[in-house]
Amino acid sequence: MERRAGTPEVFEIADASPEALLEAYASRGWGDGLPLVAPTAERVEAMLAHTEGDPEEILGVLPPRFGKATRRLVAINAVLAGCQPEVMPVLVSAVRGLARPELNLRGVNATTHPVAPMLVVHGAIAEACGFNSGIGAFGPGNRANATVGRAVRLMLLHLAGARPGDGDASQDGQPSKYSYCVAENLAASPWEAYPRTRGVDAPSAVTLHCGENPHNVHDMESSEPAPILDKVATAMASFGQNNAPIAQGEYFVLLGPEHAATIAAAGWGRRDVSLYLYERARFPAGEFRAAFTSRAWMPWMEGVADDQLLPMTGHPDNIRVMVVGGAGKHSMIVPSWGMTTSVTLPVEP
Amino acid sequence: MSISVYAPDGEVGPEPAALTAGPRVLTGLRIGVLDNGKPNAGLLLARVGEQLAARTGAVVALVTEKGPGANAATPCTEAVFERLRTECDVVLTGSADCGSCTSWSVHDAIQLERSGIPTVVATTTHFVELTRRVAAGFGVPEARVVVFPHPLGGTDDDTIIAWADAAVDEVVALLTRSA
Repeated sequence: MERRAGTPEVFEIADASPEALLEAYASRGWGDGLPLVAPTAERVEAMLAHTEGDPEEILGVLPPRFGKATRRLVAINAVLAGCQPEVMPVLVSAVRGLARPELNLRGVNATTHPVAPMLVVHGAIAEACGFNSGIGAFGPGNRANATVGRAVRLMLLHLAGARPGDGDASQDGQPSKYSYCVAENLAASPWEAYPRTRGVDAPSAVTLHCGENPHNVHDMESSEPAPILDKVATAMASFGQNNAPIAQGEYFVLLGPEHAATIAAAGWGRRDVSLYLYERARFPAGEFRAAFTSRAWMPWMEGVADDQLLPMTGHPDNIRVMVVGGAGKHSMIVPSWGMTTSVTLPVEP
Repeated sequence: MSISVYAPDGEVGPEPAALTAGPRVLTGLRIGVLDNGKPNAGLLLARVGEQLAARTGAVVALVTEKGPGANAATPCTEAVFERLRTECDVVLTGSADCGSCTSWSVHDAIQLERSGIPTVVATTTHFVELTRRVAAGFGVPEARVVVFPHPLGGTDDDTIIAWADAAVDEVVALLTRSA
């Protein structure tokens, strides 16, 4: 296969109004249902000015449509979503992540589960572009978070062909399929930057985790780690999540800064949080077996007797911890779709 | 006044081939050897497999040719493919040291990768460039390729075995690479 794609088609629309663009796009099966910014040559070039390399280079091929993702197509979808040009390296890196085989985009897009890729932006570019990692990080109200998350979805719709009922069989969808982007709150984190736990030591990085909407965990009263994390564990321990029968499923545990500070003040590291939750988010093995006749477990899990406790995921490393959010006494978990592994990549243009 | 806008979807590619995620360790995994019948390919690959098993605690689970009616210039038979897919966790194949055998060795390797089986293609210094071009043609320029001296055919057994032994570390690295 060639490593370049042709320049995308250009066509005329009746006038420069938002209505004309929305109608022209909708009539071709494009868009996410919301108003769009017209991807004119001038706007697309302004986006491309913030990347390096051949605009027609194929960054990845996105299933199930097998759309060839190029920098120019990233730029077109970024314009449509309303992005500022400075975020282009984040989107280019996100596309590379979506194309990684372990992320299993083909499955993520095709499943009846509501899964959406959550994009987490780390480091210098998050700060430079004004991504929100603090109060209201998951939205609404911040342009970088809102439009970058939307651009990812538009690329999944347009390039990957993940249209509901077509390439996307998600039974109910979920709100995070419109936009699902947040930044790690490193300034409020007691621990090192999350990408370092994945072997990435770059000034800026992105993480993609394909999961459910965030689930809230609230604890207004505890001054020790255990009571906070016991509540997190009860949010994780659910037979309604794919993590229950699929042992490789990850949990993203997004601790609020105040919960994280309480946990760290007791001398706990990020690894302690994962190990404690691995220990505490459990059910008797017999209850798992009664609930799921088909199980994608690690072999050792089948050896555990019915009356013994089994964890919700097969390895403590599958419980991934970072700090997100602002003042308050909440944390969040994002359970996995299951047959997918999160990726963390350096941001490169 | 009308304006010009881009379409947002672009071209559709062929079904993309991508390397499957390699295992972190090979211990306990099942090695398959797919010998395309080229001279010394079987000797070379079987030796790499044995040494790989001895080095890592994997086991050589299947050593097979490409099946009835199949040869170095064709894909392996469906029955052989199915055995490799179900009885092995990683596969070694080749040798890719001519034109058609290179093309079909790479083809078999890519099909196995698509089925989730990390597969190393054995080629030689004279055919590594073609091997990589064919792999790029399937969309996987980063395919797992181990390069031996040329030629394999006509080289004595002791030399082939020495070449095999010298390549084991690289084969470990190729198989455990995730992309």
